[in-house]
Amino acid sequence: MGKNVAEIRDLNWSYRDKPLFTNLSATFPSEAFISIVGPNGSGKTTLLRHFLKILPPPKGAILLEEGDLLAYPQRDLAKYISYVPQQSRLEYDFTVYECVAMGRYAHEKRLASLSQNDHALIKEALEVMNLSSLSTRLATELSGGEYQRVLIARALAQQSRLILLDEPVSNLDLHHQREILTLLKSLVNQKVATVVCVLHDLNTVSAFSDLVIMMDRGEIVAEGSVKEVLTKERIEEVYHVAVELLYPPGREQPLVIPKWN
Amino acid sequence: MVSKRYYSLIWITLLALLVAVVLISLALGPAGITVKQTVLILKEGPTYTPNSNFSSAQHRIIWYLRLPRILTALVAGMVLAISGMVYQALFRNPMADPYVLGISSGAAFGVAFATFLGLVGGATGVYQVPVAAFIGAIVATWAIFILSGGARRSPTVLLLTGIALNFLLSALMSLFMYLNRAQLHSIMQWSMGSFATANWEKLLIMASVSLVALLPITLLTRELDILLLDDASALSVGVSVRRIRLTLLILTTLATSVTVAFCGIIGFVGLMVPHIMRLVVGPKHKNLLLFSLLGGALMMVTADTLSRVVLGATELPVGIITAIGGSPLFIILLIRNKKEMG
Repeated sequence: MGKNVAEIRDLNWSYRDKPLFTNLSATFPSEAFISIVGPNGSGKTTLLRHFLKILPPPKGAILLEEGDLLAYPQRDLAKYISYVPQQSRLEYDFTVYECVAMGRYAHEKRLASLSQNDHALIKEALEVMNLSSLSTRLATELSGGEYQRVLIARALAQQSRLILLDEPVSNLDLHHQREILTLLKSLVNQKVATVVCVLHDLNTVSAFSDLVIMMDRGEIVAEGSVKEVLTKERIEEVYHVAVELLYPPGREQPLVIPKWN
Repeated sequence: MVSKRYYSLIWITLLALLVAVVLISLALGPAGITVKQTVLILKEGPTYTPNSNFSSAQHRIIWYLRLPRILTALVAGMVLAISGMVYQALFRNPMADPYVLGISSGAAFGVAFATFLGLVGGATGVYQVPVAAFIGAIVATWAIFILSGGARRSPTVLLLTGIALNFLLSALMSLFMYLNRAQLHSIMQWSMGSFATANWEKLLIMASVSLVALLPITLLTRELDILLLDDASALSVGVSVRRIRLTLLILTTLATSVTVAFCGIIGFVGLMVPHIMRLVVGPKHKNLLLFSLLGGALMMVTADTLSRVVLGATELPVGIITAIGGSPLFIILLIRNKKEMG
């Protein structure tokens, strides 16, 4: 494993007898911003869900630092991997603080109330996500963007080294997109965590990623740096849309311009 | 944020109310025993020594008729309220409750079926009835979970499945009654709910099974909170969703079925109590559990007292009282839910 935080080795998985993944392999290097891209239905979310054991992967298919992911008890797994779902409604009146505190579950001792350390970490996560002023508000009263930040704060409070996010910015305006993405990027730069994001917008991918994994119909069609993966030919082949790549002066990564007509 | 003192104050008020209702309920009835006499009789203990304050008959009424009955109602109320609270979290549905989901009917059906087959009855029934009820309830729980797609599908599917299951089971119970009129009364008793046949022996069994079932739940309140999230989120913060859900389902079903075995089907308490308490203390299960225990006891003892006195000499099945109180709330919730989801 070495410098990798996770590794997928020959993952085979079928959905209702229809094979989705056949011998899928990938490595997730430590302290990198990794983007997973690909058309709808290409298996991105399914792949993330294997990491939570919500869809348990076959034995030995996903390896973490101490070996097979399946061998990790759920609590230990939570200390290693946190997850920000794409959509998650909480219909009960928990406060923002209580929602973020749920991220401490794996670290809590049974029956003990939250420790000083827990509270400090929750406050820090709230601070980082710009939620301190909302901490006593009910989660049900928040806007979509605010709630998304709560989910990310919960993941931060979890203190995991691998954060998986399923389209974390899809429902956000440009300002909040930038805010959340730069924050995630800074976690990577400060070597706090490895971030794996399922993203749709290729320009976002281009601007933030250290590593891009492109999927199509359950296969990884490309894995590498932005420049290696986001080529005109490949994007056109995978998305069936003609594109133009631009390299604005002073920028190494391309801008992807779809040709709509 | 509401202070802890506010919570303690409400809790103590509820406790005082419960004590008051229990005392009133003990004294109330045709035997003409005053509250003061009741207290003296309680102080006297379970064996009677002749005195000028109360008669042996009055002592017997309090100690061997009313007290076990009221305590049975108290335990049943606690069990049903906690069961409702747990089902609501497990199915992520604020309208879930052992009665609405058909789990109580499953337990009653288990008893009716065993009675029909001649497996229970007579003196041995005290132990066999709860077993039959538990088997019936577990099968019903399993059926509702499979048929409704667990917590994943829409809340409406779950409720409709429960209603359909209730239809089926009550039709089958009517069939048993029709086929065997000799057992009509004993089967009827389970489908209506009543504490009239309570005694110390049954109470002891019911209370100990309930304690065994409810105690672990008090250790799982944090997990109950997290189960309100979607499955992926609950797993990602470290809760073994499948295992915890199964454990909780078995424990609540056990507690519910032993209540149904001795008291019959009593609807809506499990729906109403956690709901009202959630308005008071919020959704955190650590608080909700403590308040639902008291609230359930209070509501059930009150309902049972009403069932004894509203019609004067004749006694109403307590299930009628709770249904009259509970179904309007159910309809209100249904309308509100529809608005939120539509």
